[in-house]
Amino acid sequence: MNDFLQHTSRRDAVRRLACGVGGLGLATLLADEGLATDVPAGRPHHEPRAKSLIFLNMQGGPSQFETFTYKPELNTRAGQNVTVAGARNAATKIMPHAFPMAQHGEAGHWVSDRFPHMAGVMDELCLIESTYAEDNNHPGAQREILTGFNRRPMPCFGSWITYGLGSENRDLPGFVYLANGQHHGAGFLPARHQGMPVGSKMPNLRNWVPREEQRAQLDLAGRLNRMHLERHAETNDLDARIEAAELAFRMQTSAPEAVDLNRESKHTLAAYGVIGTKNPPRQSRTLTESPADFGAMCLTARRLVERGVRVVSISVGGRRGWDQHGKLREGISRNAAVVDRAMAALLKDLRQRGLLDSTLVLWGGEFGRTPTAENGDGRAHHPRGFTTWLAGGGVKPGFTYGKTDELGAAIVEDKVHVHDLHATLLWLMGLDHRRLTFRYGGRDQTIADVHGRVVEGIFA
Amino acid sequence: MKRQALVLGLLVGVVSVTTAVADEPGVAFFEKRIRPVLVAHCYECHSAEAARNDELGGGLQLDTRAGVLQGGESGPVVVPGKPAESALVRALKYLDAEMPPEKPLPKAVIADFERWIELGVPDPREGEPVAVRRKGVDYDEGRKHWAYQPLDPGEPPKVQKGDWPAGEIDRYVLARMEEHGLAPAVDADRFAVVRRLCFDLTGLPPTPEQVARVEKVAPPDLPAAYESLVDELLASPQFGVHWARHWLDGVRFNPQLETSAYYRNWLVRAFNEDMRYEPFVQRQVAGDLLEAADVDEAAGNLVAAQMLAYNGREADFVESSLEVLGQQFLGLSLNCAKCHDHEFDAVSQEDYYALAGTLTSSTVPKNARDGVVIPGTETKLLGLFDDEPKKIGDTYLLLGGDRDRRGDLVPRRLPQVFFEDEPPRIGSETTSGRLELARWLGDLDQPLLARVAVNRVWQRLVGRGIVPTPNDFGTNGDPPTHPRLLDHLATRFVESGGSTKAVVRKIALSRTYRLSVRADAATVQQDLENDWLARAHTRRLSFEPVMDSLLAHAGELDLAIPEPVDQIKHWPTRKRKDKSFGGPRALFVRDQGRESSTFDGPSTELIVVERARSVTAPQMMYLLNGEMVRNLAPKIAKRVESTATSPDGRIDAAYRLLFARPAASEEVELGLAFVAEHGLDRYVHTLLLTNEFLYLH
Repeated sequence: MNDFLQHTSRRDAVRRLACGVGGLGLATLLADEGLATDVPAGRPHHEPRAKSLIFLNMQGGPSQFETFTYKPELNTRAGQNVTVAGARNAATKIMPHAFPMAQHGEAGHWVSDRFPHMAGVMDELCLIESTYAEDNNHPGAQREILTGFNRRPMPCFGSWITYGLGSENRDLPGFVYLANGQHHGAGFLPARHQGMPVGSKMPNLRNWVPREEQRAQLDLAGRLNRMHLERHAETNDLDARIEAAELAFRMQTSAPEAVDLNRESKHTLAAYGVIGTKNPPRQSRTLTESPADFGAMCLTARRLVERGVRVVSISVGGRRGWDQHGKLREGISRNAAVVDRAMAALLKDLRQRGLLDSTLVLWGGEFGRTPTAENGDGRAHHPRGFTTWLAGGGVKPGFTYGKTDELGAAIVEDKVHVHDLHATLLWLMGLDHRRLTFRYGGRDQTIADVHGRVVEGIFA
Repeated sequence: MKRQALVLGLLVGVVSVTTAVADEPGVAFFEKRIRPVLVAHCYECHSAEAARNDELGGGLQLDTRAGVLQGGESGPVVVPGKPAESALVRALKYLDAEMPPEKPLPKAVIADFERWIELGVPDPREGEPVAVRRKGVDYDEGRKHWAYQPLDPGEPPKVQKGDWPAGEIDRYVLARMEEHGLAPAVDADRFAVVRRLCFDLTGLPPTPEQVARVEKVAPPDLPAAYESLVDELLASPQFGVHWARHWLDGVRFNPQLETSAYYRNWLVRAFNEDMRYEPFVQRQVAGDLLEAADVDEAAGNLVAAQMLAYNGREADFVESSLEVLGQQFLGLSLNCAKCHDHEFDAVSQEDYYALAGTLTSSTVPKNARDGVVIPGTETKLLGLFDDEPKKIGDTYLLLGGDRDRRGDLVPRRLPQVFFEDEPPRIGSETTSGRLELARWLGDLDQPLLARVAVNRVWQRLVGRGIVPTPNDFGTNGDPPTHPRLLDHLATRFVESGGSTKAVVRKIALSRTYRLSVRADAATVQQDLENDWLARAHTRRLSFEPVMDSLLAHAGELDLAIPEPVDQIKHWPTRKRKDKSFGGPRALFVRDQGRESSTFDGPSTELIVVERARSVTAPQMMYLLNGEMVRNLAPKIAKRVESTATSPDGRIDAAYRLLFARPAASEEVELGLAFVAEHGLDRYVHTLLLTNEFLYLH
């Protein structure tokens, strides 16, 4: 057992002792979670830079030009005809930035005026201007950003991470999603690594019968299962099911506590916009969430990370939320009003609590938009060079990696393919994507197949 | 380039060309900075030698000047004078392609390449690239693959344990066991067999009457009792409901689309009437083009032709359709050849676009209003129809699958690997060719079709296919564990004229099907994955049987098959307006709710080869706290209460209802103690939490 694992699990172990499960060695606890059997090493491959990951997944493909990427030539050459390689239904006229862009912080990161709160925390961000995806349509590209592949139902990166590292909290799943749960499955990995919905989205959490009685039910069911197992000895599925039942039982108390925002101060709730915000009117292709909804998710994410959850994914947008093929000004204005305050609050809050050093925050969508106009006041899909950002756990703050050309139409430096992004996320979490394998379909599968470069250039 | 040619022309005959050109500063630069890098990092995959070894990457040869200028499969790689527009530079910078693949070259080296291109690509290397543009597909070699061979069941093999087999299937299975030094497990007990049969054939739990009937049978009469149960189940309309669901998984069915209920009900009827496999396939591919005996059949044919219209991926209709056709009927991933020749199987890009032409020549109406009227009704259908002559014709090969890079026009024809000679052309100036495609696909003389079909039936009944990758019979799929058995089943299938029910019956009545899941430790150790079937696979119930069971146990399942028109008018639900639960079978329910993904339910966007059988905490939470369970568990308890009066009689009745077997004495004791403390409602609910409820053993 290496030092790292002992260190990071100490809190957990102490808590367990307090709960009266003392006397169990760490190895037993790991075996309990099934880690002893299904993780090749049973521990990280190297010293991790981050213990947890929060993904703010902006579904629909947010425009880099109305958020975090400034290209002056869009304004000076507005109206000129250009062709954008790799973009589908790319119109030809260059469309200027819809909003004023300005630099903020010491690093001088650009941000549009729709994000006044983010403007105050820009120095935390490590921007990647050169993200690259294969797929150019929402369903495939969303699958790609979450799993690395646009066709096959492969495991989500969250599943790979818990498969590699397990959960730090025995009473909560290691991989949680708070909004849309599509493409958060474990694929061929053992099912317990699939993303689980927690929070308001989690169905069936409230125990139907009193807890003591439920305990008696599970005890009887467990006993019947064991008798049954003796008669029909086969498959570890049945064992897995007994484990699942126990986790379900514990989650009924741990999950409501973890997501109970009433335990937060008024000040915190206001900072995240859970209270005191208005919901700007919705348009056809904008986020379905309100600022209060999104604030609650960000705050819940922080609470879950505090409790040792490895990966929290917040996929917002009702699938097309950032898909501004038209009415881009109105659409982005509303979306920014929904996410700006809470994202900034999350970064500040994590920083203040000393959690940002061990928590990696990833922001982005499945692709970006073209520098050219569509339907007059919209932008088309563009997966060949869009902007994402990372903050916290092990990445350079106030840094920009990769570059697109003067129009933001094509990458000219340091492409970061989605495979590279995944490899990098895993690396920061202490895992080498080439060594984290699972035998399936006759071969050793990895998160990035034969691809994936760790982008060392962004490491702090 | 012109300048270079001129220099060459002037100097020829005076001194050796190489020496002379080498005097140029550009060439010196090339010799010093570029050639060594090409040799060290590129020639392995991009040279004449690589081409000769069949290892050429992307059709690009960088070991001659002509090769560099010619470029590769995706076009030119250098634009002399313009490094920024040269694909070679972009690849070195890892912007599009990533070369060399191991890791990028140092930035200084890449800068050298930019300089070199700026200088106009000076390069003294003579010679022509080897004339291999594409690797090509070796059809003769590909055709040798086992799956394309004629069916060869051989004689049912001789076995040592001659008293074990109940039929031919068992002899094939036992022979493989014996080859591996294994012996069959004992037979499963009669209750387990009845439960398997009911769930496998109809997706429903046995009724207490079915359990009671088999309970009284003397051991020697058991096979006859199973036989009559199997025939009863095959004759039940619920058979079609269950098997239609299997089929829908393979064709990416989207129930949310207009009029989809018609196709779904057509399937239910096709399975119930045991429609022969050839028309079953042909009607789904080209029902709109087939001649029909009467209005009824014509209506059915049109409905069947909805299959591809409902395959759920409008955006890339041709690709997703060929994916379904290839995988569902042939176990072949045709779609792999969209962008490049198939990496593993003998399917070329030409083969792909030759078939694609039949689909680009057909159309799917945008919505049901524009659809085609079902004869004898007023209903209009989506579906795949040949109705726009102006669109009919061959289509272009797209280089790299990129719609902006057209290659040659590819004549419509059937895939080459299935024919030793020139494959038949299909379609004409006025017809799409889909009819010929349908006739060829739905022809049992073609051994692959029968093999794929019977393998699916085996997969559904036994738990895993004889070919464990039912949608991939290609060289990258898993080979059959029991090749002779596969061919035996396929042969019988063909002999029966393509009767699915006949295959189901044959497998369900085999002794192999009746094996216990339990085997001795040595057998398990030796055959962890249970390849050799010395025991039965344990299987978790899939989503629909879980839902249907809960309703059935509570007496709230409506077994009627709703008419399509009613399904469209009033979409069936499981939850009634008064918040109680009840309704038709899960197949017909439109909104399956979150529990569908909790229990690995159907997908509207993926071809599902085999449902996942995950085991998770949310499943337990559903069974512990779910609204439907809360609503139904007391009703199930009431039924139990009404069937028996004595306390231990009720425990037994609960077991019979939920697990289709009598309770053992120890279980009765545990049950009595629990009921005394917590009541019958809680007890029945607890039984729903056990593995026995959720698994087939």
